[in-house]
Amino acid sequence: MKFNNNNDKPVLKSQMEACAQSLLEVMKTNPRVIVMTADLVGSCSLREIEKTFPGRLINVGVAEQNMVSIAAGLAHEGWIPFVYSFSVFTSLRACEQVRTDLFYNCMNVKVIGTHSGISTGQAGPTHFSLEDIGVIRSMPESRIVVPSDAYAAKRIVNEMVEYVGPVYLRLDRNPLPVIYNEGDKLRIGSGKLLCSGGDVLIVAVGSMVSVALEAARIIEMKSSKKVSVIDMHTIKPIDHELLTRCAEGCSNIITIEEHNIFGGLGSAVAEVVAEAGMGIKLTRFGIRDTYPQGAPVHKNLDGLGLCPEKMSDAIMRLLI
Amino acid sequence: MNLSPVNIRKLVKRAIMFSGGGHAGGSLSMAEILCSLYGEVMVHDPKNPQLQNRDRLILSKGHSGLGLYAALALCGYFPVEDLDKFGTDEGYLMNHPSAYNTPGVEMSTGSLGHGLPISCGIALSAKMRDEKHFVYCILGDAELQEGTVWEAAMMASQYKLKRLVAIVDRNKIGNDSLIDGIVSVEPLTDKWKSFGWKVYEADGHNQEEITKCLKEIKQQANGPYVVIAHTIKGKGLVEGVAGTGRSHYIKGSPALIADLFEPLPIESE
Repeated sequence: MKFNNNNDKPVLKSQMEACAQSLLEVMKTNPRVIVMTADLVGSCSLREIEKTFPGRLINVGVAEQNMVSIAAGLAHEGWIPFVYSFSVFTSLRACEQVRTDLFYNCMNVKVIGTHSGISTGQAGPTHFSLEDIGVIRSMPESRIVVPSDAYAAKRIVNEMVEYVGPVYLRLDRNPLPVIYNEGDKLRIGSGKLLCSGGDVLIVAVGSMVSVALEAARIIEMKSSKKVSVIDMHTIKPIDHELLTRCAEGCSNIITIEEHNIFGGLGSAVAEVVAEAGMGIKLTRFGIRDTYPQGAPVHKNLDGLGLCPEKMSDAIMRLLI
Repeated sequence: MNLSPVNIRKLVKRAIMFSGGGHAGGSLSMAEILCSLYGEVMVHDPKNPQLQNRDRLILSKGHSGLGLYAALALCGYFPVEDLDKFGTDEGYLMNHPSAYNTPGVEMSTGSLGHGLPISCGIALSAKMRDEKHFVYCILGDAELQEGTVWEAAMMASQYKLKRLVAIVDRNKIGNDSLIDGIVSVEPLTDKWKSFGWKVYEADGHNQEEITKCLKEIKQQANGPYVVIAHTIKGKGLVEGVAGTGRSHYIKGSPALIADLFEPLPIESE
């Protein structure tokens, strides 16, 4: 993680802004890329794209289902649409359109679900996406990427343009701690081992990767345990090889996600580990099948135990 | 066999006799619409289904795929014999059309309310690239109960999709029974007009009349347009079945299916 020199606080950068900047650059050289939104130009940081490419920013109004099907029609004709809305709406309101018009029809549309997890804070459960990964993961032939910081988001956007086929990208609303360097390579389908310990393996996605890194640091400071951390940015297809290789010899596997513990990263990791017959204890951290009430994000995360201090305590208790 | 309403009905009948069941109602009610489109109005090439300047057709009421297959086979997209394997272990043609394996099918459809927004996307693409092809979307009238149809209708007029043409197979029957007895879609003409569409009405079993509308539309190219084609669900089935909910999906032995159809002319047109 990157820290400010003057106050030792993490450097924060917005994934949405990074993603939009990346798209803006891509649009200058790739005339097939087009951006769509359902009345969320400002909320999804798309103003610059709207200004630079007014003809290639399609705002369909508050109609997410319509947006996804229109995107399918555009992709049918060779465009590469990036459709934007809050992840709760791209995955649930437009769920069947994503499944049938995009994944079943294999239309080259990139679905950007912003404001993921509980990152809308005080907006409350109607605007939380607690189940989007589980919903999309169960769609046959789906692809899901959850980058952990702004540079990862930026890199993944470029990867998505090159990848032919529909992809679901999950982005946080708020600036997240910077983990990667600009220009670091990330490939769809290949997880990233960020630190290599050997006693405990933490697998995390999105906003929880920085929490996992901090928790790992605290654990190593307070105990003799060595911790590995994987940024499993591509939840589907999950990186079996990296996961089983890093899990080998560990006493515990921990998953952390800003998502319901059912259906998301924890479930995906559990499937791999169980099917590999590794016999390693696995514990899933995330939102435990509840609708957190609207509150400032840090307050909710703290209440859910999804902060470095509580996470490290919880993991160390498992290791006793 | 040539493309004609009689031959579409013959192939639909034969396919259902072979398979033991099929969506007869909506397949039969749009026979003349399909003949008008594929035979007289649309630019298309069965030998080159991906022809760049072809007019696109999206069958939003995908459950009527059998009717579409009959028209495509009669045009020469694939052998008419393939319909004999419809719904059988050896066949590849499903109830709801798949673009994966069926030449001439633009998009896999089946879930209602998807076709018009998809057509909007295709028409928007044409507009952005200044391409002159038309996009036709055949909708069921019960399908108009889906909210996404009206989301797309709003969008199409806002974006001035001048070469987009919706054709409503107005057979007045849904899956269960009369639409008016469930949730009425009337006043239909006023609804479309209020959404900014130009509305035509035609006798959906008069091919000449449908073609006249569609040719006029092609000349104007100033839509979006909707043609409300007044039809009889299961046209070609016997009295008591045609025009009723019983025609939606018919099944039974070959003899029973044969008895459900009115006698069709022996000569292929």
